[in-house]
Amino acid sequence: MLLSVKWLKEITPYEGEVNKLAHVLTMLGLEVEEIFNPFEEISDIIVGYVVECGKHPNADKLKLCKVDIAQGELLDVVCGAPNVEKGQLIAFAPVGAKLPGNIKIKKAKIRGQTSYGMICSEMELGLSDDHSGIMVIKGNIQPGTKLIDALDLDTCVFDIGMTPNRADCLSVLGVAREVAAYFDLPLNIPPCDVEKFEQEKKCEIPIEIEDPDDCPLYMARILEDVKIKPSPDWMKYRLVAMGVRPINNVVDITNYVLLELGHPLHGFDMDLLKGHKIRVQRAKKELEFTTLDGKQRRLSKDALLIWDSERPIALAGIMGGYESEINENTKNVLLECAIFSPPLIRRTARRLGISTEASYRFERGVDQLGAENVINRAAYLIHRFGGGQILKGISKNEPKKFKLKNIPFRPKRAISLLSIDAKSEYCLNILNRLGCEILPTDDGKYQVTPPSFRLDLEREIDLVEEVGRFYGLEKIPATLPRITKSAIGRTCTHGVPYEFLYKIKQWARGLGLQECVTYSFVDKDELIFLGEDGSEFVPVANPLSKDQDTMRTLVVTGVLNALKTNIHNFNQDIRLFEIARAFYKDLYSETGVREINKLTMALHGNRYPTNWSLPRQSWDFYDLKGMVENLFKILGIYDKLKLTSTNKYNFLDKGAEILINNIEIGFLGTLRKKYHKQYHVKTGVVLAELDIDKIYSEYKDKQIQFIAWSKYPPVFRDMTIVCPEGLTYEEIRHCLESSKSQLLEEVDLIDLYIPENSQEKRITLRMTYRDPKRTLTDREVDKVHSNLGKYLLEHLPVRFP
Amino acid sequence: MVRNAKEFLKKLEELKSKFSESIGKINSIKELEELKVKFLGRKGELAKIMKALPGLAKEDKPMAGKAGNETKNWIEDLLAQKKEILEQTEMSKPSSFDHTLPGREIWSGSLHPITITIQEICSVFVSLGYEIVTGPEIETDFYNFEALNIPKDHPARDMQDTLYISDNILLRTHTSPLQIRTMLNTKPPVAAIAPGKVYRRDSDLTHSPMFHQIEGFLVDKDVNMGDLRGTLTYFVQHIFSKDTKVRFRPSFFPFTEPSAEVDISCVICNGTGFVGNEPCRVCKQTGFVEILGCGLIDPKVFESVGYDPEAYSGFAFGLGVERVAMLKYGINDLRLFFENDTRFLNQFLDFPV
Ligand SMILES: [Zn+2]
Repeated sequence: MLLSVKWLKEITPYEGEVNKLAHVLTMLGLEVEEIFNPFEEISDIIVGYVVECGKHPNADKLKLCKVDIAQGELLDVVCGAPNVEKGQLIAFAPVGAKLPGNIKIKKAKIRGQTSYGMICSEMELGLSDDHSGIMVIKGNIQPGTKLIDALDLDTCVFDIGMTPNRADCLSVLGVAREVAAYFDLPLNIPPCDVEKFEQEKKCEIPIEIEDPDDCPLYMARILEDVKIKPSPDWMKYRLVAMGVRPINNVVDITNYVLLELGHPLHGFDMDLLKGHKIRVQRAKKELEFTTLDGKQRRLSKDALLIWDSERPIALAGIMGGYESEINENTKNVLLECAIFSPPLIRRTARRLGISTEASYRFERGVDQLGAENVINRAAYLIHRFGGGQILKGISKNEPKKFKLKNIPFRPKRAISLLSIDAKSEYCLNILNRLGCEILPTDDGKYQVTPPSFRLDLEREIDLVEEVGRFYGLEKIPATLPRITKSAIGRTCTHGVPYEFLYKIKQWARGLGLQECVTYSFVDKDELIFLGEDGSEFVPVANPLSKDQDTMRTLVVTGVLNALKTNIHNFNQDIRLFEIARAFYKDLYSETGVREINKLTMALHGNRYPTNWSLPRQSWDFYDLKGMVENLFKILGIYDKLKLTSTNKYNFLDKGAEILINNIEIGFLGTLRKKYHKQYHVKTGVVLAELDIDKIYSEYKDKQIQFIAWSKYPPVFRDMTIVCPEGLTYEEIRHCLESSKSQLLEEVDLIDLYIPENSQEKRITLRMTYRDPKRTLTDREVDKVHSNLGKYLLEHLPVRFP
Repeated sequence: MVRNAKEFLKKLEELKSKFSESIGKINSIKELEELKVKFLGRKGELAKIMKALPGLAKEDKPMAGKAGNETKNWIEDLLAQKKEILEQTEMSKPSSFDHTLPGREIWSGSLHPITITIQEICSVFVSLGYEIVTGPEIETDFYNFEALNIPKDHPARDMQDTLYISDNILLRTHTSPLQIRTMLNTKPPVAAIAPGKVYRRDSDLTHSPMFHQIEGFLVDKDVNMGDLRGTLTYFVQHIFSKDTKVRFRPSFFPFTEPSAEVDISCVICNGTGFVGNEPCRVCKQTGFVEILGCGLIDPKVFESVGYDPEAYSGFAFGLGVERVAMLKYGINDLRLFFENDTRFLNQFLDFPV
């Protein structure tokens, strides 16, 4: 919210420094985010006096003036405006001055005459839309004075970040109340005594309100024979400073009073209303309504409207209607000042996607008891700056009276919660300065009645906060509390504990992989492109863009897209991992969604860093498989790991599914060529994705169990066998295990050779034999080894070379 | 043929002088090894002499054996001396060994700065006795809003633009639902810290639709505003530096009251408002930057989880991880976190414990 310091000072006489005021407001919870001068762009402009104004010798439509800017010499200035005359005070931009839009004034030759500056119109200065002629300044002003001083403009404006609870501060008066309370200054409520200007003729218009909850109060005043014209300059400029476009006196005054007192008002052209009646009721059916900005809006049936006898005339609390708008021909004005239901206004405004100064305030709550002052203030100003007659009295329907709240308050509670060094009286004094009525009650407590504009004060804790705010949170001493904990362990964790995920991240980091963090939502088409079937997708109902419309079911999209970015940026040798959740539709879940923590990895480029003694080799399937196996080994669940290869993942070439206890928990493989283009991949990329939740459930009860080893030496024997292409290593391992050879401790695959153009492969195995209780002799090992060889020959389609 | 001890000793003397002569001509370790074999090997010169030992008179044998051993030791000593000399000369010779060649490099892995920041923050609180909790990223309206005293059609909902899955299901807009989930699951006292991803319908230079928050809360008897100040001051000074100033100013959050926003003295300009002669862009010359929101837990929150607000009080705070990381590391663009360019990731090789 914008606040002019000058305007504030008119209501409460703060004399101190602007920066101190900003700091105090910030520390009271009204954060001054910015201090600025809305007229910065015209700060170079000065007042000039037109000493002479003659014809331009070479152009009929131009004039040649001599302008005094109190610099000794008079300046020659060429001016094309029709209204420039000798004896005027004008807004002058001297050579070197800047105009809005960063236009710099230079010495110029216009039709052979040198012009040392420019006489400006209001439009050129951004003060109004008027460009019919130059701006003529009234009053007795010394030439050479800065224009912003001559016009006494609001040159210091605070932009305050107002929190939603402080509806009472959405006005100059509201902030002034805080300032007055803090500095103990008087508060000068702007004049609103209309009574002495009222006519004999009574203001009588029937007001019907359908539902008191929708509209607890509706008041109207009528002004007749008002002259619609521009507002006085000071009001126009003040509105400009507040970012409000001046329109005409009546509209400007409703805006002015809204900014000043915080209560939105609306003016109708009485003569455009049908029948002599105001009704407040919902739309009841969907209907079209044109608001005063000329936009046709489709209203839902519960939108609240103001109606005349026949039709809606305003969207209550949000915006007036096009057809009853104040215009230059308006004579008689009906001024509305009402209270509307905050949630209802909010719902309608949001549904229509509009937020106005009015709806913003009604949504947050407006002071019902202050409303009468507000309508009187507006009527007073309209009378003053638009003439006409104010009809006597206010037409009013108040089906729901405002009830002040009585809040029980214990100063001791405030003192202990805030941990402040203060007495009860101190707390009560603060509340009193904020306008609360305080009564002691029998039980040693107090009954506090906040003023009607403080709708946010409803409970004792709200009063505690007020005490803290004025005491100053900065003065509260800092203490470190002692943490007492229940002896029972972890209380709430979704799936896997944080610490386990961090452990896996550290493991991956240690392998030389780099962690990335990517968005949880992706383009649905990308998931489909990768072959996901969509039956479990969780779509985002209101995504920011199409490429964020679905919660991902594959976390690998993250590393793939990070890979794409990196390749695009000419980075090489990329080793990435991410731990994030995948999301699946799940009717049995509380949220309708199942969230699974996944680890995904991607290797691209070279297996080793560029180095004089390391080979240039690309990563392959077995690198990543080794990493996965390493993870399972570290976690002590290597025996649960199994791989199958059914090629179920479209995007994988030479892929495998990762299983724990025969349940699939992820995949591992090389990205299929067809998908390379999408991710800008030029060489191969190896990918994996694993369900961390499943891994954790295997791991969580694991306990390392120490096993003593044999102290006798091992004996090694190698064996080379020739197998058909299709025979897998796993089948050979199984066969070796099934041989139940007692002394065989370990088998390592030490060589694999596939001769060219052969249907066979040669496998060399290294067997480790050992007995736990004695040293083996060469002879007995030879025998066991040769028996094992025979066993393989009998059970597998293999031969010795 | 050696027939007696005298001849035996004479042979040994001859061997010694022959060895002395030979070793003088040796110029390399390889030759030296050969020499060793020639004299001391199984079939070497010394062994040949020693073969005569059994044929000597019984009373001469001990003396002869001893002399043989001494000769062996004498030769070995000379060999060792010579070896050392040769090694030294060989080392001082120019060679192809170049200790300045790059070592065989090992890939450096890294944790994402968001992870590093989360871990560092969590560690501070774990050391104070808090436990780390996590929860779902997709939430119900109840946990994300209602139970936190943010009713439907309330302007406080404007503070967070929400991404919805359906009317009642949404992407959590903050980690505050963890307050509700944790408190519903346990009785006070509770001290927990909840890191995680959060989502808002907002995307520009300073907003990302997905970012990270950490929620912390403590509920016990007599927890007060001073405890909150103390805890957050401790935290800030651990994460930034001992000299970092902490400023509390009143604010509003529906689920805390009193509420406060915490500013810290700008770590970019050390609270001076200027970097060199340029105005500081991070704090806009104010010398302070906003870092987190906090407050005493609102009694309405206690009511929605069934805690007695008269018996217990508590505080809660929430902070943006990216914001902390940006200040801590001087990162000036939020988007860098999610681009995962390795030139960015490579700057965070160090890792927290
Ligand atoms: Zn700074």
